[in-house]
Amino acid sequence: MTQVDISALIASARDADEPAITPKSGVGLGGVDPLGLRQVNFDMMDQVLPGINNVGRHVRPFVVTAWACRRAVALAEAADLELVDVRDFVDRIEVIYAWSQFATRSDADLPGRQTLEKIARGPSYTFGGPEWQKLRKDRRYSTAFTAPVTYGPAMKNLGWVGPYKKQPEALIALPEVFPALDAFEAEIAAFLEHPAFSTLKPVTVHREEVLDWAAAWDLMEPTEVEQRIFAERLWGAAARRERRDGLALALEAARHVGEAAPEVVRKALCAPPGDFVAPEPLAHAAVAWRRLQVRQLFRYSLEGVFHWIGGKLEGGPKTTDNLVNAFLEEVGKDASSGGAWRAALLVSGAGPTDYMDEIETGLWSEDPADMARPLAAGLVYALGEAPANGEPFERSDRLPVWRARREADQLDEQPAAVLARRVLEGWVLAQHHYWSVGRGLADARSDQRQILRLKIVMEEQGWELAAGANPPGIPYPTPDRLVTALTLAGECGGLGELEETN
Amino acid sequence: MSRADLAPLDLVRARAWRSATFTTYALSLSFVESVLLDALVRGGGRNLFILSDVDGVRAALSEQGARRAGRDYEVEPIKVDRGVFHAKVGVLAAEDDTHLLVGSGNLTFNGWGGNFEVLEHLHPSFAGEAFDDASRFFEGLAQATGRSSHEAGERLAATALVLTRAARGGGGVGDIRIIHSLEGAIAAQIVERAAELGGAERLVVAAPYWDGGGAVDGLAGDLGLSEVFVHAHHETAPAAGVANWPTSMSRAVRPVRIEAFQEDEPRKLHAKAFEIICRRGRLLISGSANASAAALGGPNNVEACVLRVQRERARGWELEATDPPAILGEVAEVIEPTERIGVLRATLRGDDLVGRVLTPTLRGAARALQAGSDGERDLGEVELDEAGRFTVVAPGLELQSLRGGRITLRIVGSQGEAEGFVSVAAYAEVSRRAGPLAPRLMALLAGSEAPADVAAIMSWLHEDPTRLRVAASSLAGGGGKRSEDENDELLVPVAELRPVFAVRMEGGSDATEGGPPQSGWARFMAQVFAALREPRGPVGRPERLAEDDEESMGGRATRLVDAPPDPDLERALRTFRDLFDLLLEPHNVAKHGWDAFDLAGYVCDRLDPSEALAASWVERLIEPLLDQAHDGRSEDLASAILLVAAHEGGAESILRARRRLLRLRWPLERSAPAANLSGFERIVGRVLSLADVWTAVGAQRTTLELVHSYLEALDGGAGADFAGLQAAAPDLWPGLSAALTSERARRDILRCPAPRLSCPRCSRTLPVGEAHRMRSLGLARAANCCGRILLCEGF
Repeated sequence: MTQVDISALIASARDADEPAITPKSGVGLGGVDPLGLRQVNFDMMDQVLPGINNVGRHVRPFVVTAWACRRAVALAEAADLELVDVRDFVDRIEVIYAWSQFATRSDADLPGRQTLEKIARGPSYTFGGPEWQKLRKDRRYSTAFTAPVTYGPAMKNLGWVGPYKKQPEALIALPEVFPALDAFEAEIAAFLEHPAFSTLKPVTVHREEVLDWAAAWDLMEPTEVEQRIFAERLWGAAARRERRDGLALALEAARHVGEAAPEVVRKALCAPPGDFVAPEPLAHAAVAWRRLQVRQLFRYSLEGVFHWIGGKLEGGPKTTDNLVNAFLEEVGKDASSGGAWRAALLVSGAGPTDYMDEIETGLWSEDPADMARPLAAGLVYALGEAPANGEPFERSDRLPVWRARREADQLDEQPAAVLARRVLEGWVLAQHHYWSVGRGLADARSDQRQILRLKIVMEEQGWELAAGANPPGIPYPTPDRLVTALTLAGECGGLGELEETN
Repeated sequence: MSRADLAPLDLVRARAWRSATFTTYALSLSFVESVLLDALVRGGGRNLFILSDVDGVRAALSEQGARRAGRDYEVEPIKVDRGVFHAKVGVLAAEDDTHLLVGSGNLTFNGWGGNFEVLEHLHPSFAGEAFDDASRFFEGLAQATGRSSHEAGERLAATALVLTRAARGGGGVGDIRIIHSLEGAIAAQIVERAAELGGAERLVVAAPYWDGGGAVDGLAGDLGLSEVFVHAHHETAPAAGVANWPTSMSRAVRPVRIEAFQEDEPRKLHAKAFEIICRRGRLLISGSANASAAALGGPNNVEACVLRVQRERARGWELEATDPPAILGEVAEVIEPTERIGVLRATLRGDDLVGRVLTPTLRGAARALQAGSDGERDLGEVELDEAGRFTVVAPGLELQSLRGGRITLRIVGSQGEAEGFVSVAAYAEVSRRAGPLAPRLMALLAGSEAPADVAAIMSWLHEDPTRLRVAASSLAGGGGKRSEDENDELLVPVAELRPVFAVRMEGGSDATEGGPPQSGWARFMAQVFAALREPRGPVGRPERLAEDDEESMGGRATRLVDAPPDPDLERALRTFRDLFDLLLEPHNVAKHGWDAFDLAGYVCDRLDPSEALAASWVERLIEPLLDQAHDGRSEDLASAILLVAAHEGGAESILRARRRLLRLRWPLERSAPAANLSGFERIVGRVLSLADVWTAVGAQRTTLELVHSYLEALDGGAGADFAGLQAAAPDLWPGLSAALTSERARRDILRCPAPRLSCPRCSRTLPVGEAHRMRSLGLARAANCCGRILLCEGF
């Protein structure tokens, strides 16, 4: 636990002959998940597209990294080395690969464009020495392909690499993908003799060489064998069943609507009101997908309300009653009862993605008064679509949508202000408080850096923005991995004739 | 002159305080939980207790997200007749040290840094008399004679005792004292002190709130002064309907700026301070008292201030003449009051809810309603006595509280209604027994644990696995009596005995009143272990990286991604692996095999171990548990068996699953086992669906079953799957085949009721390979004696 020098505090107090002036709070501000509801989306994504994330969108980085892992071991064995920093070689290959693609493709959306900018501009780079080690350290948890925030988790989940038992940081290519690595190696056979690829020792690589190599391992041109192996692991026989079914459903939906643009496929997947009907074996995946989008809408609406409250408090403290009245006024619907208010807000023929689009428009509107109605409508729709019972991942402290519905239903006969009060005070502000404090205390028990996550607090005059805190930002829908799934499937040839529309 | 630069939070987190007591008028639970409790936890402290005016508690009740009141800390309301409880005093006590904080700031963000506030930090080493004064203040509060109503007598008395002990042997020459309104009007005490210093020559007042000036007018008159210097701050903290300047004093008011109160970035004034320059010294008073009759006169508000007596003729505050501020009779924005609901307090002991309505005056029959985070529940009729006290039975409420719910109680009577927090007595016992681990266990129970908590808890269980059994036995763990240390707290020299130490009021802790001493702890631990079996999802997995980046992203973080390895997470996993190994050791497995199962499921659910690791845990659990009593958990084990097969895929895995299910005696003709193993299932991926595995298991036959069918055929039964048996033991098949038709060959078949490792005819031990075949397949050849074929009849 944190220790402060108490004897210094006592000495300071002893020497004082005036009362102290309480200084301003020095606690840092932060927090990105103000209501603690985003994890539920992640858990729900695991029901439909587990094992991938929103960053690892291309096949080739999987292959390049797994190949580098295999190559490093082979080079070490050939050199009769007992100990080897496999990752040094893997990092080198990753950087050379990214460098080559950034240099030749403006659309190369690989991690690290900014990090590698200096290398990309220079005539050569030496993979060795302190500068290289610093770069490795900087990339490790940020832009390395193996980093947890890029391709790392998916590489393991899709079975391209696995941790070496005795040293989990070192990765080993798994034999199941060797055919893909062989095919890839054949593509780059012409330059394998270069020291960059044939020795574990420090090496200098020149820009012209990198440019020469770029086409041979082009980001968008995996070989047929790579495609086949990747497809098998993404949604084939070797895939987790949830992902296999989830992606199969997405591809069915894409075929149904005749295009693979993610926003169109997403909307089709949410049917009804669309007319896409999932094939019977994929019906469970369709249910999971719709549930995900409804929960997404629920979270988006509540975070939108939080943003709306923050805007109101920029003018000074407000009581809950002030906020409720303002919200109802801006929504502008029949507020005689909670039930009537809910009914009046529903839009005929609209589905979850339509409501999300409306919310986005409202949040970004120049007129703040445009915000409340779509937020209320989205919330009401999500409540109406809520399941009767909870799911395992719907923890009670993450405001389960089914419980919210039950509470709202109980207030149907009361004035809409009672329901609005429950939403603002009970669901949004209370959830913000509970979640922020819970995270903060967890940090405290772990002796982590103190961050004040509360953006809105209760003080003597009512709710107000926490001193120094930015008003809550405009929320976004959480990316749902559909783009990643469709892109990867497309690179494997899974979209067929739809590929052009992706 | 020197002024301490004191950030009170530094003091709060400076050490593992055994208790922290704060009094306040206004109360923000947002502040308490996110800042004060945070600091206390960082220092390893515990037992946070807050005494707040009913107004503060009433406002705090609207903070529905504050679910920790009554559990992680206590809030007690106090009602003061003809005034408010306004003192802002903090007492931080460790085993060997006690500190006092006395100031002008409430327990709010504004009170601890948002406003311009004054604060005194006192220690017995230089202000021993002040600790005695403070002890008398808490003693007076504890007695609650006439002026105030509360139910915190025991805690306040204990605080008084702590202060008395701290004052013993303390230093100081009596120049730092605490004055409070329980021993007479503040103004009168100031006048008395000024007389001791030869009489007053100058009075300077800094205060945000005034009653027009009457109180200070009277004070100045009693001090014999014809004018008053009043600090004009650029802005005062708002308070509805209260004046910020003396507008109707009979004496001259000189607006000044106190040099020491100037800041580069000025904050709103909420500090209250009085300086009286006397002929033989200087008095400096700071604390809660405003420049009003309610504060300075008596008996109205309950106020507390520090009085500094500087007996040498010291230089006073440097003053600069200025203009008076804009006069405010009321705050710029009027906040309309919400419907006035009264305040109560209650304590839950087991199923009994004991409480008291402090305001309004409620008597006779009323209705009790309990509000939790998931709605309101009618607890039925209650009868309130003359003091507003009541008792109601609330079955299941403690459980609800233990599971992290916010609990408040509402009493609705014909004369009005009141609402208040419920304090759960079991937590006092938990805190006492578990010590520093208590907050971690509570966090686990509420589902807000961090990897560091899990590591600590796993380590605690590893130290003594019998702690895992406490919930079942209600006997083990924690110790059932007070520690010597705690007993010591009750020892006090006879000379220091005062009536306060005889106080034993309702609302005392579970440690001193009724109920089996271990019941609360056992119930708590039972819930902790029940929580381990609940699916909750990973512990805050993706946030930290993006969160730390938020400010650099202009306050608009859009990315939530997996974080880099968390050292605490690694430590938690490592600690669990050690515990898992320990629990599955042969001498432990009978007692703790199922504990290992539950803990592994929990760790999979919450800590995201690698898939390979999780799969290995499930696999390692199955064999030992097959040999144990299943305690009604056969379905859990059967589901785990299917999960392993679904993870591995392949015919051999299916066959092994069938073999295990047969050992478990799971009825294969019925529907598939469907226990909720979501923790394991979340991590352990499947190449086959569980339904497909179940179908495949049904279609397979183990060698033992084939042997059994063969033996039935040998006895004249229906035909069997001989091809399967032939494939499983091709070398034995000629003999087995012949026995089906030849009586003589049949004599070469020896039946064993159970697998055995020696020939039943010759008693010779089977060769190693054959012994292995007998163990795994249930058949063997007695290859080193008579050469006969041994077939096992039993599954």
